[in-house]
This record gives sequence, C-alpha cells and structure tokens, in this order.
Amino acid sequence: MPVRALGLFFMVLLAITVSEATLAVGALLVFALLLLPAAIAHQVTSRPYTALALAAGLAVIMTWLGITIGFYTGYPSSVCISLVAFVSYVAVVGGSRVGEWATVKRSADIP
Amino acid sequence: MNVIVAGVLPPFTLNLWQDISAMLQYDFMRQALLVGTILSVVAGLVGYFVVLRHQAFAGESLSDVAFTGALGGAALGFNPLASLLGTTIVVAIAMGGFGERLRGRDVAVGTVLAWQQHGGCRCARLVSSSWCCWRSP
Repeated sequence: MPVRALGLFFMVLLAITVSEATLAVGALLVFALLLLPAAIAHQVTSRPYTALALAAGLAVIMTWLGITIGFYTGYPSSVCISLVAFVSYVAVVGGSRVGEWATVKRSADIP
Repeated sequence: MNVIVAGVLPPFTLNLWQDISAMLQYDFMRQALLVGTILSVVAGLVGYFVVLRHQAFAGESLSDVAFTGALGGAALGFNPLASLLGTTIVVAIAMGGFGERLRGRDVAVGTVLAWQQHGGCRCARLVSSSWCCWRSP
C-alpha cells in the first residue's frame, strides 16, 4: 500500500479543493466549511461511511441556512455560513464534552 | 451599537413557502445555492479525512497560500486563477513531502505562512495601485 504516495495525493486533492472553494466562498470560509461539519460528524459517530454522509449532509444544510439568513439580514453569505457552522459546532461538541464532564464528575462522587 | 444592514431588505412574511419562492426567483440566489451545494458536499467529504489525519493546520495554511498565490500571480501578470491553483498545488506537494514529520515542523510552516501573508499584502498593493515592481511607474 503506497502510503507516502497516497498521503501526497491527498494533499494535492486538498489543495485543489481549497483553491476551487476559495473562488466560490472566499479564503476565510473554506477553513470553516472544511473542518466544522467533519468535526461534528467525528464527534457524533465512529462509523466511517455514516460520518462521511453526515459531514457532507451537514455541510450542505449549513450552506443553505447560511445563504438564506444572509439573504434576509443582508450580511455577506460567508459570515452567515460561518456563524451557523460555529454555533452548531459549539452546541454539539461543547454539549457532548460538558455531558462527559458531568457524567465523570457524578460517578467519581460514588464511594 | 451600530449594526450594519443592507439598504433594502426583502420582505419577510411568516409564510415560509412564499418567502423561499420569493428568494428563489432571483437568478443569483439560485446560482449561489447550486454552487454552495456542490462545494459543501466536496468540502464535507475531504474535510472528514483532514480531521482524521490531524492536518487542520495544513488546511488553514493552504487557504492563506491560496490568497497569496492569487495576488502574486495577478501582480506578476499571470492569470490569477491559474496562479491560485499552481501555488496551492506546489505548497501542498511541499507539505506532503514531509509525511508524518509535519508535526515537528509547525514552526517552519508558520514562518513560511507569515512570509506568504506579507508577500500577499505587498502584491495586493501592487495590484490595486497598478504599480509594477520591475518597471518604473
């Protein structure tokens, strides 16, 4: 299995994706749309195909909501997409971390 | 606190279907939603592997390099889209060539990134003021 070659090919694929996405949504939003849905999917599930579908679906839903909110409030669309993505990331990942912390804390009090 | 809002906002009734159909009758909105959908699917799929491989810093630096590459190409006279793609691919190959040793080279990548952003600001000045760096103005 050519691991080095696959790693290099993946970096080139990432470069092509980032450059094409920069043309469409700007250089600052690419980072948000690339990582936040994938981080949410990584937190929620551990099955690869489910997480892939969830990441793609979440990214599409975030984009639609962001563009709609941008249409009705007048802010640039990248701002609204980033806002939706960040709020959902904080809600899901932050909520799960707080839930883990609360569960561990409560079970540590049992003698 | 001043909130900057667009001059003329579309009417927001509480009839959801009417709002969405009013939004979709603009050509640029349909185009934006179509482009956004295709782009989000690809970004979600590629981003999942970026998260798994802990290469978030590489993705962030690639987007900054894209900005600098486009401006540098425009300052030098090339087509900015071609220079965008070319610069990003070259930097990605340079990063991928390190393999797993990228984790120890955060400082080197960050230094190159700072130089790239400085170069991008200079190229933005070159492009916006139509002042060429090798010809007398």
